Order: sequence, then C-alpha cells, then structure tokens
Amino acid sequence: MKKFILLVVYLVMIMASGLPTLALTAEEIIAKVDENQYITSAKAEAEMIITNSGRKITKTMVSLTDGDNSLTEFTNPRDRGTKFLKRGDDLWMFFPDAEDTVKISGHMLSQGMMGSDFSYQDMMESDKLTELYTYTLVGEGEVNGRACYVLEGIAVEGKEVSYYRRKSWIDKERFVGLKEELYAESGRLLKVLTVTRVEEIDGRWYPVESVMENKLRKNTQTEFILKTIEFNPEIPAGTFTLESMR
Amino acid sequence: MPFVLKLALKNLFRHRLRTFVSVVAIAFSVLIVVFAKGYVDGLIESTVADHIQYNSGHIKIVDRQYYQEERLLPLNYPIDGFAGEGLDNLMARLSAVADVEMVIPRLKFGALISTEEELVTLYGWGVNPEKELAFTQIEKELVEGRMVRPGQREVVMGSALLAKLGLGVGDKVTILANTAYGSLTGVTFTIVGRILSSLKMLNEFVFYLPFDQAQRILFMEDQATEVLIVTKSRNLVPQLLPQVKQILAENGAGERYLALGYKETSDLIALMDVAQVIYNNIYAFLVLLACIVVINTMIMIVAERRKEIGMMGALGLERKDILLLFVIEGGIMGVIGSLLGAISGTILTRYVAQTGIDYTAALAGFSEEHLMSPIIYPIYSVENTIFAFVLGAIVVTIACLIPARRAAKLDPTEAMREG
Repeated sequence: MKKFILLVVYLVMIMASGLPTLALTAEEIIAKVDENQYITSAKAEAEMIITNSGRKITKTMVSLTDGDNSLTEFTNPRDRGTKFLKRGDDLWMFFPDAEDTVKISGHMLSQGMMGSDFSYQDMMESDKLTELYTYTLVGEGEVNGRACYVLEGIAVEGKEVSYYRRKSWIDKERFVGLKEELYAESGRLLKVLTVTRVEEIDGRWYPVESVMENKLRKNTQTEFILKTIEFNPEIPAGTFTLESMR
Repeated sequence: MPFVLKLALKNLFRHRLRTFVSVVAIAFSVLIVVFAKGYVDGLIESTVADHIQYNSGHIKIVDRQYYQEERLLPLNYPIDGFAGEGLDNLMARLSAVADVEMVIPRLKFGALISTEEELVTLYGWGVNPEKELAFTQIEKELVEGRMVRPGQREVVMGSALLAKLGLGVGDKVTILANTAYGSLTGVTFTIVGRILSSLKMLNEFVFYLPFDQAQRILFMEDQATEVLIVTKSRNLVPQLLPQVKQILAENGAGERYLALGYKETSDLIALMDVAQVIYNNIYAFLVLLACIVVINTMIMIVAERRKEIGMMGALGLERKDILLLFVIEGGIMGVIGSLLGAISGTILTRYVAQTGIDYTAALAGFSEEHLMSPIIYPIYSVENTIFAFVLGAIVVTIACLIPARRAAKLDPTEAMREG
C-alpha cells in the first residue's frame, strides 16, 4: 500500500512537472512562430495578384533580404525597374523615370503598396511582434482543417503600430500563422490575412500563398504568392545601399 | 402746370440745408446701389469665369462614375472615346458642332512630393498647353519662365507651392503619383514656369504638365479624365447642350458619359444666381431707407406750410395741383440726388475696378476646391448706372406721394385757422 501511494505521488509529480510543456504560453507560441519564420537571409521571387472590383492586375517581384534590410525590384512590364529599399525602419523607392530616390514616410506608409491591400507598413513590419504587442492566448480554433491556437495581441503602450489589436490563428503543430485579423483601436476590423497554402521548405513550414483583404475598401483583395525562396543566398556587399538602387 | 413747377423749384430753395440733406441721403443710397451692383457683378463674373476656365469649360464631358467620385480624382473612369476607340474621333465630332470654338482634353490626377520634412499633396493637370493659353488666363498669371511644351518632362507650378518646396524655375523635382493600374510611380521633371494666381488652387496645389506626359506616366494612352467644350459665348450653353448629348447618345456613349453645362458643375454659381435676386430686393430697400429722410423732410414742410397750403386752396388751387406741387418738389430732389449718386457711384466703381478689393486674408481658410478669387474687381457698366438712377428717382417720387397726399387732403379753411 505504501508503495502504491508513493507511486501515485510520483506519477502526480511527473504529471505536474510535465504540465507546462503541454500548455504553451502565448509568448512561447509567438516565439516558436518567430523561430520558424525568421529569416536570416533569403532571395525570393513572388507574385502579387490584385483584384479590384473584378479587375485583376498581376505584379511580379524579386526580393533580397538579410533580416533587417531588404531590396525588392518589380519585374512585370508596367512596373519594371521600380525598386524598394528597406533599411531598418526606413523605406526608399526608386523609379526608372526619376533621377533621385524617394523616401516614403508619414501617412504614405499606411497606404496600399503598389495598389494592393498590403500597406507599405505591412511589408516592412519587423519580425519581432512580441516587442510591439502583448499577446494572450484566448482559445483554440481551426483554419482549413488545421487545429490552431488563437492569440490576441494588444499594442504595447507608447509603441507606434498600424493596428491596435491583432487576432492570430497559429497552427498547433507547425507553428505557422494561418489567419490574422487586424483591428483599429475603435474595434473596427481593418484587414484579414488568410494563408491559403503552407509548404515545407528546407525543413521548416512556410506560408507560400496568402490573401489579404482590406475591409475598408470594397471588393478588393490581394493574393501574395511566393514562387521561389532560397535561404542564405550570396548577397553582394553594398546591395542594401541607396547607390545600388540607381 | 408751369406755375406749380416754378413754385416747387422756389420752395426747394427756401430751406437749402434741408433740401441738401435730403439730396445727399438719396445720392448716397444710389451711390451704394451702383457700387454694390458693380461689386456683385464683379464677384459673380470672376467666379463664373474661373469656374469655366479651370473646371468646367462651357460644357464638360466626364464619365458618369467619375462625376460621383470627382473629388478623389480616380483614374479608372476615363474618357477614352466612343467604345474605347480613343479620344480623337470624339473630339473631332464635338469640334464639328456649330459655335463650338475649342474642345479641350484634360487629365487631372492626385500627386505627391516627398520633401525632407513632409509629404506635399498636390494636383497634376495634364494639359494641351496651346489650348490652355488660348482659353484661360494662365498666360497672364505666368510671371516667370514659360508654359510646358508637349513631349517634354516639364512642369509649371504656383508661387506658393514652389515656396513651400523651396524650389524655383530651372530646378528639378521628383513627383509621385498612382498610375491607372494602382502602382506608385515617380518621375523627375524640370520646372519651367511659375504662376502667380489669386486662386489658391493654382497658386498652392496645381502643377501643369504636358498632356502626353501625364498619359504616359499614368498608363492612360489616348485617355483623358475630362473633355471641355468651349463655345463662342456661355449664353449658348442651353442651346448647345442638347446637341452634345445627342452626339454622345448617337455613338452609344449616352449612358456612360455625362455632358454638363457649366452651371450644373458648380454649387457656388447656383447660389450666386439666388443671391443676385436677393440683392436686387436689397437695393430697393436701400433706396427706401433714403426715402425715409425725404418723407420726413416733406412731412415737416407740409406741417410748416399748412397755412400757406390753405391759402393756396382758398385762392383756387385744386387738390391735384397741391399734390403735384409736393410730388414735383420731392421728385426734383429724387432726380438730382439720384443723378449725383449715380455719377459718384460710377466714378467710385471705375476706380475700385482698377485696384480691386483684396480679401486674401479673410479667405485664407477657404478650401482650394472653391475656385474663387479672393480679390474682387467690381465691374462698371452703364446699365448699372442707369438702373440705380431710375430706381432712385422713381422710388423717391413715389415715396413723396405720402406727404403730398396729406397736404392735398387739408381743408383750406381749417388749415388757415390753425397756427
């Protein structure tokens, strides 16, 4: 009998110590997502299909990134030669018809990037969401048949963010964000991002197709399709400089 | 009758100061009428002219949907001819209408300039320079440099805009705009001219660029956002508008495009039409005010001369003669006062018509969307002078009937007994 009691105590202790690993905290979930999606450096080709009141416009681009900085060049005929350079928190653009680079700032950052439902800010967003938002685990759900954690992030006071509140659905197994709703401080739903395809690339799960809907505009959506992605490519020195854009 | 007239004239000189004050009161009110009418005419004329030149032409053709969203300057509802065949045929068909002098295409769009400190929002107007110079006042307002030339990457900007940007003629500027396909694009232009306009829109917000350049950078080949029709006179609009609509309908564009007369595109002009009617009533009221002085004077005269009136009655002067006597007395004051007022009012109007009255400070907060010049130049016209003179003379004479009837009604015996 004594042995049995000891065994029970032992089991309870094991279970108790095992509990934290079973139920992740919100921070841990986001950290895992960051770990999964964080890119040290990559070269990607992507396509953006903008649908606006029945009219479809396709834009293609090539991007290089080293984590903090990125350089994107559009390759579709109408925008060929247009480049974006993101350095830290700054964004510059270069146009083939312009003689100097243009810094994008202020309210322009929150406007649709190249007519899409993604804003410049959406594109520039730093990966470290945990610094900008305080996350709490609000429940569980399902997106496209995959079980998800549902997290809610509220902007940290004093931080400048485009969306006051964001609700994220994170795949429980693959730690990939599958859906996100972005809200204004008034509670109004601004945008919805839905990941429509996830692929395993070099051993990690990565969203390759997603759809952004801007709820403030009528009948519009933007599909973002990652065509190819190469991790840790060779990036020539001086790629992320203003001079390289001209 | 000559006797009554002589008597009336004589009476006028009995109390010269009193007569003088009455004449001055009438003259002053008539002066105000002449000036106010010239002023309102000037205000309306300049507002209508600015609206026609920089917004509507005499008749404006736009896409129906564009008209709904015009404030946003959308590029996805252009004028691209009949059934998308391009602008040429549409413009040729409209030019062929009798009394149409010019058909002017414009491409208006929103644009941005990014400076060190801020993003400056502005409006780009892609224009055919030759037609704009012929149709608008822009040549007069171009104080430095020249107008843009087709095919060149050139812009002309307002003085206030250039000051805000810290740029001048000869400098280069990179302008950002959203293309018809929603992409952001940027183009570097050379500033070739500077405008100094009293219109806030032109001075602070607009830059002119060649029509073909606007089409090229926005991916709007053979398209315009609006097409303006200029006729020989704006009075021809009611007559030409049905013809223009007919042409659109015949070519299957009646549903898609709107043809609008210049009055339909401005709330301000409709408002001013109403205001003009109200003002005309106010003028009569102004003269009536002066009449109170005259009536008052005449009532005093009648009271003073009761005995005299009684005497004249007793001597056989008929009632209608007594009435006439006082009406003539008042009428002469009315005519002289109105004449003086009309002449001095005309001189004042002609003088201010040269200098203008500047409301720039008062209208500083006015939105640039209202094409309204803050400097108002009254318009001198013979019609206004005659109108004010006749109004003054008639209203004063009629007003004199009141005291004159009192005098005529007096009973001779009673009047003589009094005082």
